[in-house]
Amino acid sequence: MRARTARRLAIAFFALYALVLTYPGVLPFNRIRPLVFGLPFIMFWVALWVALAGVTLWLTHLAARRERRGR
Amino acid sequence: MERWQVVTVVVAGYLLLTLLIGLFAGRRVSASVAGYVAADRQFGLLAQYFVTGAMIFSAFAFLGGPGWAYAQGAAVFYILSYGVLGIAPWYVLGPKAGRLGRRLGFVTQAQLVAGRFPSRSLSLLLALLSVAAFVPYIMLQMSGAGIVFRAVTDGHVPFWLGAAVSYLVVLVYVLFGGVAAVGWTNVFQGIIMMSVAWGLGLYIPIHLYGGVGAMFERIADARPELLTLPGLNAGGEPWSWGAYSSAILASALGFTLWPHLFMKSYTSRDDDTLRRTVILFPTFQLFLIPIFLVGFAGVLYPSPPEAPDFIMPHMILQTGLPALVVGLFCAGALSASMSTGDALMHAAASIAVEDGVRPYVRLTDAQQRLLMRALVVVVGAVAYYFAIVQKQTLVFLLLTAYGLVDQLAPPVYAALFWKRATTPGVLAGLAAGIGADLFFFWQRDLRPFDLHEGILGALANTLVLVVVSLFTAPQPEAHATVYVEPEEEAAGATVEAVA
Repeated sequence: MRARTARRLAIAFFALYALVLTYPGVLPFNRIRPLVFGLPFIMFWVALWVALAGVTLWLTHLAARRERRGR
Repeated sequence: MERWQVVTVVVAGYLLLTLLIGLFAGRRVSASVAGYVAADRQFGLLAQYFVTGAMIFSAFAFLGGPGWAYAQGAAVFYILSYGVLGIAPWYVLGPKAGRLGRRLGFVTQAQLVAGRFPSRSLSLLLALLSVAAFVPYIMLQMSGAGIVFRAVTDGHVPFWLGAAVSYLVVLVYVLFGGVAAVGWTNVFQGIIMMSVAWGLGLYIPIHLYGGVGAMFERIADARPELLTLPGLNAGGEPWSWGAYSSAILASALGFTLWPHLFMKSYTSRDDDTLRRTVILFPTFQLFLIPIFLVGFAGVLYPSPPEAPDFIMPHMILQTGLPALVVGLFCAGALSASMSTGDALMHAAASIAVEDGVRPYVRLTDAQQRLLMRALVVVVGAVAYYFAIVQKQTLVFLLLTAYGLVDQLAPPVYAALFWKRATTPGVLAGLAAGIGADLFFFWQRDLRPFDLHEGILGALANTLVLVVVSLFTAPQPEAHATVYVEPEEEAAGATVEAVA
């Protein structure tokens, strides 16, 4: 993937991140059960997005680095 | 030996080791302003990762986080939510600021902004704003140290003494070692705090309830209101959605603009180090999970702590852990407090001198470093005084400081991304932003939808910045390009040289 596309996707990801973790986007996920890894669902939901953010940043970085090397 | 004595010995050992690391690290950089403030721009990935992570995770996360989980339940998830959202822009912002710093010799955030928008009053205003936001943040760190000492020694080491001793250690290594001492002590402190957090966060729920899931099952039956958003406010009433959501956005916006964090773009060896720090940051963020678990473990525990911020040491003492473990916890909590406090005190003094004094008074390199050291002492003393007399919770103190820091966002983003921005626009925007922030801080009932005052201030700030800029004369194209498109400008220069 080209670095520019990767960067745009990352920006879209973080917009989605803000949407599903604040009002009103978070409402459908604002529940206690089912517990996941012992955590209330909403706590797991927030942690999941934090982890996804790490993966997104890493993939963006890989794409950018490959493009810099390629030049 | 009684337990509190063992604990005190372990903590003394930790403090001594920290001091030695700090003093040793400080000897390895040059005796210059660039050495004292930016460690000769030589931090690699390990130092930069822990400088960023440990500096951000402070007493606020270690004590205030569990305190909120315990008293206000799901409201605390805002802290887990904002971190990565806040640091993501740093992936672009950090390397860009770092590159400009290397090229134009900047060591502070205000130098970058005042370089793009030349104005001594702007520089002074930014210095005042930064120091004003730092004081509650440093107070919070000192309170954290005092709370820990008092709780784990059963009051044998009072609040004022615990805060004083730990910050004397910080003072010594910051005075002699500068930012290099801050960096290498943060590596040590970061490792201790992460191990302690994961260890205790998993041990306590298992020990008391038989497991994390079993604990939440019981809370869900007894206090379900604590496990869904937006949780409760400090008074125990349901928190508002507007306040919860805007706490995330206000904190995320201000996150990378904290002047002490921003300045660390100048300590890094190269761009890639900064980028990798951002990518690894979520690993630090997830360490809030075990921290929150300790707070939730306190919800159904029969004896309450004396205040919510005491829940972490309270739970540790109540579960009958060996004195050595209590001592290590204490070292972890002090690490969290000191690794942030040191960076703040160092940055406050550096900024006051570089941005508040130097534009007006000519100083030699040696005089600057002397003045910075004097100011480290002054800032420490002022914050210590307020920490002893204040009564607010730790999280409240930080949310207040964020309102001011948010006002740095429009000037910094304009400096790096908008060529048409002008000096009068930035000055007017800042004045409007700070005014609106303070107005809504004092008049809380007038805030629309209960939104955080920092967000309201930043909106006013941006609006005024844009309008006034468009009505004033644009900057020379060449000047703005250096800041907005440093790559293109540098590439252009090479082409010319070749031609």
